[in-house]
Amino acid sequence: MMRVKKILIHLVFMGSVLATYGQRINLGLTFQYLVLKQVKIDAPVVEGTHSYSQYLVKDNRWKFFSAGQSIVIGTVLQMDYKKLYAVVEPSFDLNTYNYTLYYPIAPGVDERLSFHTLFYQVDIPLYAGYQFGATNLIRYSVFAGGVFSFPYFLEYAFQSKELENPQEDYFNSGDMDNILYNREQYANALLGFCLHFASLGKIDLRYQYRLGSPGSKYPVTFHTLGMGLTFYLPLKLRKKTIYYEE
Amino acid sequence: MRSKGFGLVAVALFGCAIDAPSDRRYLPPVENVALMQSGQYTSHSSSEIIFETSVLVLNTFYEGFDNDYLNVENFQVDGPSGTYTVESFEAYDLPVPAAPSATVLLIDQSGSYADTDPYNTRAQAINKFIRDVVRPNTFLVGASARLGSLHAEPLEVPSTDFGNDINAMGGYVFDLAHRTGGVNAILDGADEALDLLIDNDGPSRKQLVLLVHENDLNSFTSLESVVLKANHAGIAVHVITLGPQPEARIFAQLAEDTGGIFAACSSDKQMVKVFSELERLINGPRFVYHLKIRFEPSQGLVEPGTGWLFRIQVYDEYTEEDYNDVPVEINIPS
Repeated sequence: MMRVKKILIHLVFMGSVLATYGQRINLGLTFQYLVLKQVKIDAPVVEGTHSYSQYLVKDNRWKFFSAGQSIVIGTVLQMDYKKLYAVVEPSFDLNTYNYTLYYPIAPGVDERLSFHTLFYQVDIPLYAGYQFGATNLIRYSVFAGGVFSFPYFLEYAFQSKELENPQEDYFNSGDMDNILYNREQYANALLGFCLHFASLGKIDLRYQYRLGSPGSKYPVTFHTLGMGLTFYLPLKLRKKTIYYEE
Repeated sequence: MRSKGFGLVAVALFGCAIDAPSDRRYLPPVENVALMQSGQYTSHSSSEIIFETSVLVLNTFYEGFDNDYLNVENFQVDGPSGTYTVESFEAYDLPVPAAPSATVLLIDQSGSYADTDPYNTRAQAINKFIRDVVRPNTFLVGASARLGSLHAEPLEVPSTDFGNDINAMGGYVFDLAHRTGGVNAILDGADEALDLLIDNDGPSRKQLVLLVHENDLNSFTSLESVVLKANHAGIAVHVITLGPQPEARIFAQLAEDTGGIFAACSSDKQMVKVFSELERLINGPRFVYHLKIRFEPSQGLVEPGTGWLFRIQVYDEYTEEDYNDVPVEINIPS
């Protein structure tokens, strides 16, 4: 409850700052789908947190869909000031990860175990952008900032590739606790490129990088790439002529 | 694609919401296990054999305990046809060893574990054992086979330093799963492991543990030679057999003659249970049932120099479950 209050206070504060200084204020809805992910454990072997197992790290590649997905629905509050703009996007994020580790069984045989993580989380992306290339219809921009994530629900599971394997007997689904996930809030760096369509909305390509590892034992990095689609609501909150309308 | 998509179904099936995770580590499931603590010949005539044995019954539900509530009716003796009479029955605590121990755990790397331990639970179980051993007790893990994938035959050890290096030893044990093969020469490996223990300047109470899953038909060292060397150096040889292949009478005799325990595990779950308690069995408190048994064969005579394999069957009336048979090998002196 305290966490929710804290988030609301931050949102009200940021909203009031934007409303005070903005030449134009836009309120909108955003839908984001981030499907290109890389989870990288920088260690050759990982020891399970809740078992006596050791897993081999073999596959740290970027993956399309199969490393997890993030489905984000949220609101957008954007302030334009000359060529600059600042945005806060309080959002709900259904954030999943999928990471495959290998358990040694026999010569040339490793059991493939996919550990799944599911977060329900509130994300607060806060970023600033610079617009260029203005036409009557389209503007471009680059933006950077941070995403502050507040997980409030977590589920985990794993899946063996051997269908006949009584997997729950032999492996522990919670073994990636404090390795691939924990229950703490965390921050991401955010970088992106955006295409604005007049006052209707924008499409962006965004890259997120989680700051810090979930646990201290193994260095783990999370990279995420995806698209965002934003529609501005037809509200005249504040409107002054700014650079792309000159 | 099914496996690539996020496993919502898997989450529904196997997922767990976590609110208050503990730091506890879990082993794969275990099964009931009883072990032979000792077995010895007492006397014989042409028509009877009298022998004594001590049996340890590990508590199924809790780690760190033995079942201490069984009575004489819970023990049956099986073996050659004849009449069995339990002449005396006692149950008591064994004293905790006063001196620290130095232990070598030797893993039979021969052949394949595909039938006996298909998911390599032994690595998890052994990893727990080496984490349980704390100073001043020390340990070393080694592997044994001939014509297989080991770097040294018949004994490979990652280090001769009894340094309790948990991470190095744990990694070594898991790597061994990739290097099974060759033939069993566990007695040759045990002979060299005994030399390692003899040369070790550490703790005085020295222990050798063998994990065996096949019969040893390839060693140049005889069983008698290993027993002689172990007894001369005061080293107890404990034997854990896995699966149906290892011949119980040979390995039971090795343990009996050197003062070690013997566990005949018919499944990987029983093996996991033994390793989960192994550190306590070596260094901690134990509760044993001591039986003195008279056997009168229904046919034939008891000849000097013959060996007799008996099996103690344990039934827990509280849980209504059977335990594995406990083999006891009794050799009649010549």
